[in-house]
Order: sequence, then structure tokens, then C-alpha cells
Amino acid sequence: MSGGKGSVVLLCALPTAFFAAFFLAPMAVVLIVSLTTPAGHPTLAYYLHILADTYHWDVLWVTFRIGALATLTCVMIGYPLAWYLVRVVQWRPWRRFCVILLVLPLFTSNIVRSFGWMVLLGRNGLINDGLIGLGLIERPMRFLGTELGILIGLTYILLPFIVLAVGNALAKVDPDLEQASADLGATPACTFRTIIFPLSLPGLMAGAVMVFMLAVSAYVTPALLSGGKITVFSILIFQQYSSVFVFHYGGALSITMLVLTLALIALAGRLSEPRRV
Amino acid sequence: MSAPILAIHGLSKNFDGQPALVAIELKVEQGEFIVLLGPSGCGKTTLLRCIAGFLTPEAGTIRLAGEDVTHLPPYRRPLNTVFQNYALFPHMNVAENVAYGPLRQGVTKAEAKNRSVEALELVGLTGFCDRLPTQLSGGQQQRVALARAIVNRPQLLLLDEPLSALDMKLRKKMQNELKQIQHQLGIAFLFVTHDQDEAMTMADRIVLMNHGRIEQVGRGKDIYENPTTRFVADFIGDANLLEVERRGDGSLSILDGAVMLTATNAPKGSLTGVLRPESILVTTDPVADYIALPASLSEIVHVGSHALVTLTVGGSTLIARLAPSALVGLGISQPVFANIRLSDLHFLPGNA
Repeated sequence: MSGGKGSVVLLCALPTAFFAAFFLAPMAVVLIVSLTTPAGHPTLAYYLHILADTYHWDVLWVTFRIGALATLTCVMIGYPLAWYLVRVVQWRPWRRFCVILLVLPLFTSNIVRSFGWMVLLGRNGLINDGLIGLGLIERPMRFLGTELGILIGLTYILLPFIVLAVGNALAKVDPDLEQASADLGATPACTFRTIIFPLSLPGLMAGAVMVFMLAVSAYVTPALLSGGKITVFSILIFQQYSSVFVFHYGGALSITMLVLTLALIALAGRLSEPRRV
Repeated sequence: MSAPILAIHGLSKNFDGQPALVAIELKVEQGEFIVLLGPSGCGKTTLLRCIAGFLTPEAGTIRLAGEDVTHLPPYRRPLNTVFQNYALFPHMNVAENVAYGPLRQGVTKAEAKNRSVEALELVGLTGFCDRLPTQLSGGQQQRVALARAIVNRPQLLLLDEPLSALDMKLRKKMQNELKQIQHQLGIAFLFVTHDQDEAMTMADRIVLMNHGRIEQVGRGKDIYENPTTRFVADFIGDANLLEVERRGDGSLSILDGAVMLTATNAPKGSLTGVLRPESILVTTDPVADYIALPASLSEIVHVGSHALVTLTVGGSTLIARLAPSALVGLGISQPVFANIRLSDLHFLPGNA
């Protein structure tokens, strides 16, 4: 190989150009549009309007609440599931089958899967039939058009991200560390608390951040499962762009949500710094 | 005399039906330095892991200071281990790694910290308390692993090839330090290695293992001078293994009759003669009081402080170890004499 520096520049140029063209440019356009009037004058009016209007705060609260709950549910289900796949399953074909089962839904369209949940969660859907059959409820429960319904749909769709991230982190924990911990007198529960969990935390955080971002920005699932009764922020933005055609206002909404999401993630990252034993 | 700190009786372990340990018997006294020595796959690490509790044996008992611990989980056994790859907790700094053991014993954080600093001083590592393991050199990590394992003052310390990742110089240094620390603490060490020099240097007693069995137990010098099996003779130091032929009149013939023994207290049955390379003198003239065997010199290999000389005696090949000064006047393909003494010749049961 020759011309080290030249070829490095050449190698980096294409991805950089791609990143600039397809990520930075649209973001810049949205940002600029949100800060200008239709006539092209700079203004903060859209942002002031968003901040002043309590309706937006309500929608934001619902959105982030659903996002946080979806993340929490995914973590509560996903961590044990990842543990099971990595630590409990010894038979490789079964583990492979489970992973395929977990990842397979990602290959189908979000819309199809959300429609699937509409069918399952409907008044006469499988879930209600099942719950009535088991005698747990007397009359069909309302899932569609409730936050619970959206939560179920989001949890289902986003679960693989947590399981894969945590599973990867758990698989990387050296078994010798567990033995060393046991050797020094730690019970299995103590070893989990002091060694395994802290070492899997970066994976868990990465998965949780991904799930949270996808959950608060999700459009299809909330739109289909809300039945028009619940509005999340992405629905609000979509309305501005597709129905009202006020790109300036839609842009301001998008940027507001982006900033708030990033701020929340930064806060969560700060709070979950590995604790010293 | 109090009970041995470790007593193993009839210990057997299989892996997928293959025997890894077969009826192991072993006693370790308090404060002893025992080295488990043997080639890869001989079962020495498996034995160590059974004692630590990471493996469950199929048969036999393990007693620690008289108490049967065979079925106790590792965290209930009063011993500690230095792992081959150190197994330091990567998310904890040096002080926290070492304090981990005391904290599990339920002492206060301040007390654990004190003990941790004390143990680190003992292994000669001060001022690194706040470093993470990844910020340390291999030798320093080794010391942290040692400090972490001795901080609870176990009566028995298991060490699984702890020095194998260090370079030669550091290794020699750590061997000395380990011996000193062991003396200072008075704890029994059970040290696994495949390096016979390391075993010879460090051990009070060597336990030599092969194919899941203990071949011989004894002081290094005794094992070297009186190997009881062919494997031991071959594994400890270099050895010329000689075919021994029993003639009709009861006499023994070695090296195709070049050496004949009539009256002998050698055991009955087929035998193998063992002759250490350093007990052969190679000269141009026969040496008095030795049996001088005419030989031809086929190769000289210089190995640091000495040279290995390959000789052909009749139809057999002998290796001799000579000091460089003894090589003067010797050349390849030269007729020489291989001088040996019968007192240097040992016999083992079995064929060469």
C-alpha cells in the first residue's frame, strides 16, 4: 500500500459525503425551516407557540410516558429473556431457533405487525377471548385506543433490540470472573449484583436508549393502535406535514422532540454511570 | 501433628465418559508448598478445580482442615484461588478488587479497605489503588490477583499456572517472591504448572501427574534421583532410557552387552535403565574407575551454560550433558569414550 494519507482521505470521503447528504442536510433543512417564517424571515414564533401551548405539553407527556413505560417493560422482559438465551440454554440449535424467532418479526413490515395486534387486541380478539375463557375478566377489555394497547404493541416490536444488546453483553462476561467471585465467598445472587449486572449494564443501557428513542418516535404502531383516541408527538408532527402542510411548525415540533429526547437520554446516561462497590 | 489442611481420598472425575482424574490420593500439610506438575491434559487443573469447587467429582472426598467439603459450593469453601488469566474484575479498581473478598465476609467498608491496602503492600504493589486492571502491566495484574486471593488469609491457596503469562525474568522474580510470601503467611500453596524447572525451584513436594493419575509424590531432588516410573524419569530432567536384557544366567546386559551386571538388587521382570545425561563423562581417553564405552560423537548442541552431546554407542544413542570446558579436544565424528558409573544407573520396571 502507498500514499497512506491520501487513501485514508479517499476512504473516508464517500461515507462522509453520504452522511452529509442524507443525514446532516435534511436535519439542517428542518432546523432552518423551523426558524423561519414562510416569507423567509428568521423567527422563534413556532417554538414560543409550542412552549406556550399546554396541549403540546400534554402530548409530550403522553409520548414520553409511553416511551418510558415501553422501555421499562422491554427491559423487564428482555433482560431475563437474554439471560435465558445466553446462560440457561445449553443446546445450540434451540438457542439459534429462539434467536431466529426473536428477530424474524423485524423482517416483516411494522404496519403488518401492528395490524396483527389490532386483530389480537380487538373486542373479540384472541386476547380478550383468552382472558374471558380463563375467567380473569367478565366483559371484553378495551385495548385499542388505550395507552395499554400502544404499550403492548411497542413492547412487542422493540423487545428484540434489548434482548440482542443484553445478550451480547452477557455473553462477553468472562465465566472466570464468576468463578473468581464465588471463590472469594460471593453467593450466586451476590455475584449477579456485584459482577454480572454491572458488566452487562453498558449493553442494557445501549438497548434501552435504542428502545426509548424508537418508542417516542414511533408513528405506525401508536397511529394504528390508538384508534385516533390517543395522540403522540409523532402523530402531531405527521399531521403538520401531511394534513396541515405547515412545514415550519412541523419542523419546530420535530426539533423540540429531538432535543427533549436527547436531553432525557443524556440524563439517563449520567444517572446510570457504573456504581462503585 | 494437626490434621492435614487438605486430604483427598479416592477422587475421580470423568468428562464425557473419559476419565480425567482416577482415584487421586493426596495430603497437604499446613504451610506446605505443593506443586502439581504434569504435561497438558494430565488432570492437574481438573484436580485444582475440583478442590476449588468449580467441578463436582464423581467419586471420592475432599477434606479441608478435617471438614468434608466435597459437596460444598465454591463460596462456602475456606480457600482461595489465583486464576491463570488473573480474572480481575474489570469494572473495579485495584483496591476494590482486593477488598471484594473481605466485603463478602461482612466486614465494614473501612476495614475491607485497610485489609486491601495491607495485602497490596504484602505483594509489593502500593500506589496503584485507583487504577483499573486494564491500566496495569501483566506483572502488576498478577500481584493484584495474588493480593485478592490472600487478603482473606485462607489456609490453602490454589494457584493455576499463575506465572505462565509472564516473561522469563519476571517469572524468576515472582517465583522467589511467591516463596517469600508463602513463608511469611505460613499458608499451604497448591501450585499448578507444566514447567518442571518452576516445580523444582518452588516445591517442598512435587506431585507429578499423568493421564489423570498421580505418578509420583516427593521432594524434587528425590524424584529426580529416584524416579519410580518411566514417565517420571523422562518428564523430570533429561534421561537416557536404556534397554535391559536379562540373560539366561540371570545377568543383565545393557547397551547390547557393553555393560554387564551380574550381582544386582534390581527388581525382577523386564527393566529399563535410566542414565542422566550429566552423569556421562565424554573424553578422548578412558577415565579411571569408570566403565569406558567406545563411542562416536555425532552432534554437539550448545544450550546456554552447557552443551548436549549426542553419542553413538554400539547400536544405541546416548545424550551427555557437558560443561563447555569439557568440550575441549572433542569434535564431530571423532572416536571418544563415554564413561559411566554403575552407581549412576537406575532401574525402572517395564521395557524401554
